[in-house]
Amino acid sequence: MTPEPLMQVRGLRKAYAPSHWWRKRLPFLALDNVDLAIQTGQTLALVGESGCGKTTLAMCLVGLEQPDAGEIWFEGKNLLAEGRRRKAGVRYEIQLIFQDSAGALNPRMSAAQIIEEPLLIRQQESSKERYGLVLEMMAQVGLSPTWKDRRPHQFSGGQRQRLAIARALVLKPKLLILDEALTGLDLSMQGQIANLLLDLQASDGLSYLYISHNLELAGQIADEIAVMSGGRIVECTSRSELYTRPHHPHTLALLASMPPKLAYGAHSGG
Amino acid sequence: MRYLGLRFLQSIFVLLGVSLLSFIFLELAPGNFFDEIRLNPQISGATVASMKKQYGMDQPLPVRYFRWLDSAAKGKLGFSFAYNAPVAPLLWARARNTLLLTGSATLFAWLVALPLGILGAAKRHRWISHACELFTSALLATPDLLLALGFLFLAVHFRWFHAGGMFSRESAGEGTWALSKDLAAHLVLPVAVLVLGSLPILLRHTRAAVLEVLDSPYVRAARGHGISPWRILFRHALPAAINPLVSLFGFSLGSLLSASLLTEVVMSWPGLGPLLLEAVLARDIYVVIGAVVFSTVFLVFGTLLADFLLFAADPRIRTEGLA
Amino acid sequence: MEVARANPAPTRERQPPRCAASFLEVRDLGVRFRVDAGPEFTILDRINFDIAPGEIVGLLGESGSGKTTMALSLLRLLPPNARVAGGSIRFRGRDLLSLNERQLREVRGAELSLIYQDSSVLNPVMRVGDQVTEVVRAHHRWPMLRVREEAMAALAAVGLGGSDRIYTSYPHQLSGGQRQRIVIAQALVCKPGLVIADEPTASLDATTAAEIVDLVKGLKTVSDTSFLFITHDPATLATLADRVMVMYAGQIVEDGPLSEVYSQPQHPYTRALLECAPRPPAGGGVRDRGFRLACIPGSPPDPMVTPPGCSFSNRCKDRMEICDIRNPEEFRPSASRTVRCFKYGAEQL
Repeated sequence: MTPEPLMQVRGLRKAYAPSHWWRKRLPFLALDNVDLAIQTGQTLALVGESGCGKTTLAMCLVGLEQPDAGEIWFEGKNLLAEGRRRKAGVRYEIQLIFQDSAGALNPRMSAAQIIEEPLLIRQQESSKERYGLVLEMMAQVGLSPTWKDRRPHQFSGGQRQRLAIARALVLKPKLLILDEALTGLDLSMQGQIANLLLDLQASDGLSYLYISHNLELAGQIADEIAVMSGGRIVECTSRSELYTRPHHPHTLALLASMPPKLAYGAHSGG
Repeated sequence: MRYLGLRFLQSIFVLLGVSLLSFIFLELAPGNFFDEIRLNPQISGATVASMKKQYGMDQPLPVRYFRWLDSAAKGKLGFSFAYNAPVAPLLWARARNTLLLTGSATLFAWLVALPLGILGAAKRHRWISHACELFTSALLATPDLLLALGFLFLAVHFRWFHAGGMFSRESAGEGTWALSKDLAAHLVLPVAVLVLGSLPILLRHTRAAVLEVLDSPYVRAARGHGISPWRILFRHALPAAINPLVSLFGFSLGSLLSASLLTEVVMSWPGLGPLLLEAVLARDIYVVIGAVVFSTVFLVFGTLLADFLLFAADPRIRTEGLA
Repeated sequence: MEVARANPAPTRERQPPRCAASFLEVRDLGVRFRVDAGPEFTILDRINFDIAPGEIVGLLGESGSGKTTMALSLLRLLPPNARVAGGSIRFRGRDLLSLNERQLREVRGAELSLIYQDSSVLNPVMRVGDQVTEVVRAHHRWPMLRVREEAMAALAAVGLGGSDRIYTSYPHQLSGGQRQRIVIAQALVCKPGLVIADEPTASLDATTAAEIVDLVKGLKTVSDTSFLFITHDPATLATLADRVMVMYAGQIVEDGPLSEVYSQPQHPYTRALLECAPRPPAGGGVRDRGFRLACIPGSPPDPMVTPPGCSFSNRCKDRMEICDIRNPEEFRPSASRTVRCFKYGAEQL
């Protein structure tokens, strides 16, 4: 008997109307009857090419966009039933991290201010408690506390991603949505950040929705993989099944475009 | 086509709104054309009252407003108390002179600002660019009134140019060519004041727009392909920089009737400005409303024209992107 | 010095083989950078390599390694606060560092061209066909008909031919992959001898990136064009490059044939980097919760601070005493390979 998933999405639909009404254009269907389930403490990878609707899905799950139809169940509550603005409690439980953290961080705020901001919005702690939490988060993501007054542009790409992760985690969410969060980082940095995320998952029981166009990295950190194309989920299986028994032609195309295993000695397969 | 129709409708609403607001503000302002007459002890109160009735000034505001709308639809735009004539022909005669002045000024201003702005951006590290900036800042800080008075002073003191008015008395009755020369001579000073007044903004915007494009990835890539700098400037950079400048041009057009008010009054140019000033002082309300609405027409259609120019000039707006 | 140009044939046929001497010879190239009248610091240090005609050389480096500076300095497109601090760049026998701006303009785009990282290098208000013809017109005084033919041929060569629709489109009407192909067409239209591709697949998703790599492989078979393919992902080069150079902190730390370097990496950085590349999971079953990806601890050095020894020493697993004292020279463990690491040459000291 499988436990209840942390988040369940059923029949999600979203269409975008043409931007200017003098252009004759059919509405664009970004999400077409999407079904998903994310289990507690596990990682679901969502893989697809650009334009397939992955980011739209992330926005709907986080509450930044309203889907036209469908249901989103989180911990047994229907998120869409509560009207446009979700209750505060639920909003803090699901957080989102983008690919370009330089764009997601306010360049005029220091690192400490950036991490503190969600706490200020939630208004549950005293000023001293907030300060302590900020330093704790910085240590947990591997940023030295001496850097707390630095601005985002003074950090490297990898460090900025850590900062974005610290900000997302300071409210202790249950689900973290990572929209291409590791794409574009250097290889050596990718591993470091991915390991940080895995450590946090092991220690705090976080669940992840890892969105990417890169199947290899997704395959290494995910328990289940869903393949998306043209607004629909075309395949959704466990990780091992995907590699051994892929069904959909799109999955096959993705697997085929992956570069071959590099033959170098002194290491074993992942 | 639908877009055009909707914008046109919007414009009508704006005009109606402006006229209504003008009516209301003038009503709220203290004073009345007839109060001046009443001060004269030789005219009895009864005469003033009957004059008021004759002009319909004893009616309540909404009635007067609709009567004015009706008059506007007939092309008369109300009645001027001071001139004892319908407003529209009065306005039009003066507006022609204003348009002549501001039209020439706008043309010259753009003709000077564009090349200077482009040059300032293209040679941004050389002295000419810094000189331009200094000049612009100085101009920006100088009030228009000071410029106008300064020029007037020069004209009177050195007798280089005519110090006011549109035509000299001597030239009345002469042929077209002589008249035109006279007109041009009288235009020089007010146009100069207007050009210098609007130059800083135009220059700055042009320079900024071109500078931004010159720093863009596609211009740097064009260098990498070996394209010559002048070709890059004119064929690659300027078309991309045109976007903000078109909007600015629309505003220039829109303010054709309103920008020169102060200059006209100081330099005695017989345009809309002095007329409006007189009418406001005398509480000749229909002239005021008529002038305001007239200016608004230009503003609204100026911006409409700017939108359409932008539509034509920028393919990103004109064509749709990838779905 | 005017370079006489023979009229190339309008169709893409295989060029006659050039002489076997190296196309590009870079010796001891150094580039330094200055921020706002502060001290100068080194971005490129003693760069040495050759590229032969028809060779695809991969340049593997992460952010901060200096790879983009390398591409820009070969074309002399460095920003004003950077300067070449020594060394030479000889392309087809000419010293590029001694040419003036006008001569350089003839070289850029026609003999040596650059494919940029993302397609924002396309002018948003110009049709893409015109953007390709602009490159041709900058180098040849041909009639418009001929210029247009060349542009169409270039579009066909990158897989966008066959219709006028793409030729007359604006960049925002094309997909990311199509735009990248246009950028490649611009770089190829004048049939240059060497094309530098600076991370052309970085902003593309996996399937489109694979198509671009196939495109470059296809180009290799029909002409003698050499490529310098810059990337931070070793997997991209795996099926593409003949040779690979690895850059770290402004130096080339390893250079050799791809198959040898990938199967037996000599520099510790190369080895660590190759281990970081993700690969598909080995077997079935549930994910191992304790599994962690391979990564290199620490971070790349700050270019403003030059350590006295090897710049990789603080992250190196095989660190020796001498690594903290002196910067390693280039050692040649075999004829075809070069390494900047004391493990292969300490005994020579």
